Amino acid sequence: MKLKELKMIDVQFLGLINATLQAATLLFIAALGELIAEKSGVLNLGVEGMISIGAVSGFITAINTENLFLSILVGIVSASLFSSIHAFVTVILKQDQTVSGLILTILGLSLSSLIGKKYVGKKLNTKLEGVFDIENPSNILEIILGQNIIFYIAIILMIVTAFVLKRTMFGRRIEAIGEDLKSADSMGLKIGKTQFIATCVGGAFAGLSGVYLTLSYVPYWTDGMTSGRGWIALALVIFGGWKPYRTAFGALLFGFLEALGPRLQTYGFEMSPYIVKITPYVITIIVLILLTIFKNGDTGAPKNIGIPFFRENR
Amino acid sequence: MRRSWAVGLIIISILAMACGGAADVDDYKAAFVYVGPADDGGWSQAHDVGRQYLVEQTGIETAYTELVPEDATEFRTVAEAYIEQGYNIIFGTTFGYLDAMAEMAEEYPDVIFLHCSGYLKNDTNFGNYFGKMYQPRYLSGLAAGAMTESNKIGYVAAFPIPEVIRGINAFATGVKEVNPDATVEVVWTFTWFGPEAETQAANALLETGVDVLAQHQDSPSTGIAAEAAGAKWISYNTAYGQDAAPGAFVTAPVWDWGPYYVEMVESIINDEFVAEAYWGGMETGLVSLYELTSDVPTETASLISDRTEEIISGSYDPPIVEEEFIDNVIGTVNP
Repeated sequence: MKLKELKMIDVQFLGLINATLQAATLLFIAALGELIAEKSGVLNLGVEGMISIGAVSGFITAINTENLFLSILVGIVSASLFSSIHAFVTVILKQDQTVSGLILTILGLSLSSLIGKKYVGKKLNTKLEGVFDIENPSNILEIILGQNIIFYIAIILMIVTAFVLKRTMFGRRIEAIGEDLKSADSMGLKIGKTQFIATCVGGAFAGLSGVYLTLSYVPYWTDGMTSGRGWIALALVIFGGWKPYRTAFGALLFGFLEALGPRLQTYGFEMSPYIVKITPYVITIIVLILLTIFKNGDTGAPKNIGIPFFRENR
Repeated sequence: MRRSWAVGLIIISILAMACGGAADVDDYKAAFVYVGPADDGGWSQAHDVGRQYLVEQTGIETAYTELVPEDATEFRTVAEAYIEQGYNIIFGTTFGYLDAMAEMAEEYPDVIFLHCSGYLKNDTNFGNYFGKMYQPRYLSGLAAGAMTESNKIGYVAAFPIPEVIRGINAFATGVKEVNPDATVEVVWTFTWFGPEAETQAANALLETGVDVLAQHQDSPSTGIAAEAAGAKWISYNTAYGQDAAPGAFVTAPVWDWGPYYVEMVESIINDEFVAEAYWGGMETGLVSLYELTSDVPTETASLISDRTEEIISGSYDPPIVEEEFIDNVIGTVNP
């Protein structure tokens, strides 16, 4: 009896870890994409809409072709194309980034409902399975090995993004533009082009996050699938101080909270799920307060975030 | 000459009005307001199937608006647009429209408002309607109790309100009747419709070792999670959700609003409408248990059909408990 109980607790613990990794993967990829866009000075509040577009287009492709590689690709490309609306409006037309981003969210949610209407409730026959075929994982390593390909892609993206931003010419240019538009311009950097690319890369990441949602995490399509993940991803960028590794840590923390919510009830704790739901935002606010107190408000945010570039205004 | 024409016209119109005493279906238009998508595979779809049945049976002109949030202003905007277009029967199919419908019923005395799952009404043009879903939930509990091997059943539940608690207790009453050793563990999601929250809750329950899951939720996410874990699933609302997880689906307590809608609209047309609080049980066909799959043991299936007859004939009714959980339920009603 004792042993059996112990085993059960083990299963619940591993289940919590597994759910944490899944929730974290979804949040992290979207946040990492947003981080890249924001590094170049483009704030994109359309994350929720972009995830939704990636989720629905990947799902529809998977239903129709049963080709998972193609589905992932379609999800990424369509969300990236979708984000180019934001790039066009803010970088080329130089309009307000906040307004355009919010429009992108609303448009993305409605558009994905429209496109996905015929696919609500359809069963996905080929969902993304773990890279290593592990049945009944018995330790954390096996849980990690049992994750699907997008989890590993997320880790690679984290390393690559951190490297590119810090160590490559392209990354330094993005950062220069995000920090100081005028100097970047006088150095001859192609501001518009770089911001456009960074925004579309951000969209592509959000698309991958969406594909992860509908091909694996909740393999199903219906309206409101994203249920606020995009907003948590935005908070996550702030929490992570625009640094890929710290963002990954934040994703694990936020993902853990998300996984913990319903499980607390099965552990016998009586805590309102509402409290768990608001925690990521509360933590983000606390981080901002702490940074204000101890680091003179240096949150790590790119200085030029949200400011359109007009050469004439120099 | 001209005057006599006018008088003649007036007389003819008065005569026409007098003769046309029995109203015609063309004098009425019914509008439906849904909280979710009309094809959500759950709650709103059940109402839309009812609407389509109403059209087939009566030929009345209908329209619907989906995805109207549970917000007084949102409901009002939609409903007023319908009233301007001449719609004079309005069905609001979620609890959250309560206040807006109560107010609008006073403002528009010529329009009939019918509110699903609410508790307010007036004496003239505002009624509410709901069904005794706890009855088929009890029956589905019989199936769940017979099918569990681990003696652990999970229940993914939306909000701790009387309707949901009553359903859980009725379900657990059924479980207890066939399997006194089995428990029903409840996880609250605090959402009617949240695929991710429902998935997390279902997985949390599956990790505790449950092998049958039931739900009071509007998406089939619980079924998808159950299928992935090799567990069984009792759905809810309609049987449409089973397409998403056919391997786990056992049965579902389901709604059939069609006959009620027909009855109401016919009573309105025949000028026999009474604003009432309608609470239909299995005898009305409003609620029922969907056809069982072959996974359900034969003796359980025949027990279910016996109990169905007893409920319909009125000789048995599962107990209604809304204040607390009965003893084989694990969880709290005040999370």
